[in-house]
Amino acid sequence: MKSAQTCSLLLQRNPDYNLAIPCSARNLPLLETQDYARRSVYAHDNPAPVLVNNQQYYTLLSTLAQYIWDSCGEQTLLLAQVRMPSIDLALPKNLLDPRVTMGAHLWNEALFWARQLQTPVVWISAEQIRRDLWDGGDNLLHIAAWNTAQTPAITEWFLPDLDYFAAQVHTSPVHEPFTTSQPKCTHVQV
Amino acid sequence: MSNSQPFASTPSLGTVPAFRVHTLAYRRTETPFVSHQVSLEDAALALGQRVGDEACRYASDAGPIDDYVVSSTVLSQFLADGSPHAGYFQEAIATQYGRRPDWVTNAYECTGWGFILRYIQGKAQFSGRRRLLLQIVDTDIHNFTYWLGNNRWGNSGFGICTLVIDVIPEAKNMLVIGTSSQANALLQLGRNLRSFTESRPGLGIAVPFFPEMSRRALFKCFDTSSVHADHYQRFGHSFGSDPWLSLLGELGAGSAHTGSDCIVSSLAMNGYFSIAQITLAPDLHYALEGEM
Repeated sequence: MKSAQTCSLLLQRNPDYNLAIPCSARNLPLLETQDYARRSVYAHDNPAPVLVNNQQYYTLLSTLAQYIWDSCGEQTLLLAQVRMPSIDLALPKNLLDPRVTMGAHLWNEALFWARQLQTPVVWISAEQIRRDLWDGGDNLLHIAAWNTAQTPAITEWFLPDLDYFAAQVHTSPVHEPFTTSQPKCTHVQV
Repeated sequence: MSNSQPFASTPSLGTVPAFRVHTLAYRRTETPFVSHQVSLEDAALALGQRVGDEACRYASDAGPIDDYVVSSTVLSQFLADGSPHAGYFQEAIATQYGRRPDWVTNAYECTGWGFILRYIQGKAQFSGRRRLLLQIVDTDIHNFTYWLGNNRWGNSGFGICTLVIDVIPEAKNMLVIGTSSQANALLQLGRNLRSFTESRPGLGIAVPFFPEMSRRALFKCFDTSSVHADHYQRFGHSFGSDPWLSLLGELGAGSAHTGSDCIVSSLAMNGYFSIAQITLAPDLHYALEGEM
């Protein structure tokens, strides 16, 4: 297994910036007055903007997946950490592909595959992208890739493709985003 | 999304078990699960404790577990997003059971078990047979009205399904995963059940628990002579646990037997479907509401 390339990107702008877009976010319907109260229990202050709606979020993930396959090869495995569920919005078909696994806490799974395979493995942490006022998160997208060519650098793969999000490389403590939510793997060199 | 073919070829009857079920248990959870005054942290801890209790009760004697995965439809996003609260949920599970889930997913809704079996079978291709602890956890800590039921799936049933399954790499064509538009979802599930069951005559078929009208629509698509008895009135639509509850019902009634095979199926509200042939181990441990 080659060592991982990692990067953190701060997404700063809605991809449909300056365009009129439907405001429907396809979030869980609040059907009764009590539902608003239930939701408000967990309200919190978060200065990070709500950046995308669910449709745009799925499009981002789907686009990234296709971009990774185009760049790293069709056989690349993708493990994507996402915040779910959203209601009444099916995942794009390519995210249901056997090469993609979606959920939470997938870092160790990515390591398993990176050790087993000679071919590229990519882990994406997209669960901190805000889609709703209810969401926590800081709009940071973290990416790690194994068994890929060292050049170009991983940021150079993704930055141009995320231009419409005004993505910016985020400098964070070394490896922290790649270990803090994954307590079992703090000992693993990335 | 347009209708699409399943992500696997139409299977033929397999002779080697692909998914051997060693443990099958289900326990309902209260509704509401916690009062609205309970903090998110305490709600996460309470649900994690319950999930860990079930894992401890039914998987502790199952031998070494290679993979431990939690799947859900209604699980709060706060418990599956890498946040501190998701950490509390995991830690509470570990406190009771001694191990955190390796990963959690609520991306695939009711069909999550099929996607997880596909994924674990992929791992087994490299490392050999894997023993999976899979818990399907459908309890809404927020008690949102939407999840209590609606005209799409009827009344909901909430609970925790605990499964220990050996995933065997050699066996092929024992799992179909596909997707269709929401409008055609029942039809596509039915058509794929027809394809899957035609080469497996006589095997019992577990289908999702839906209100009668939806069940009738589904039944127009395939030979239903081997379909399990309906338990919608008793359990409601219990999300991804439906086919496993259906199996428990048959085992309790004496119409399914250890050592035999059957077909399980689930349908997600967004149109995904999972269908699998599973084998009940001769020494299967099963329990419904704690009754062995």
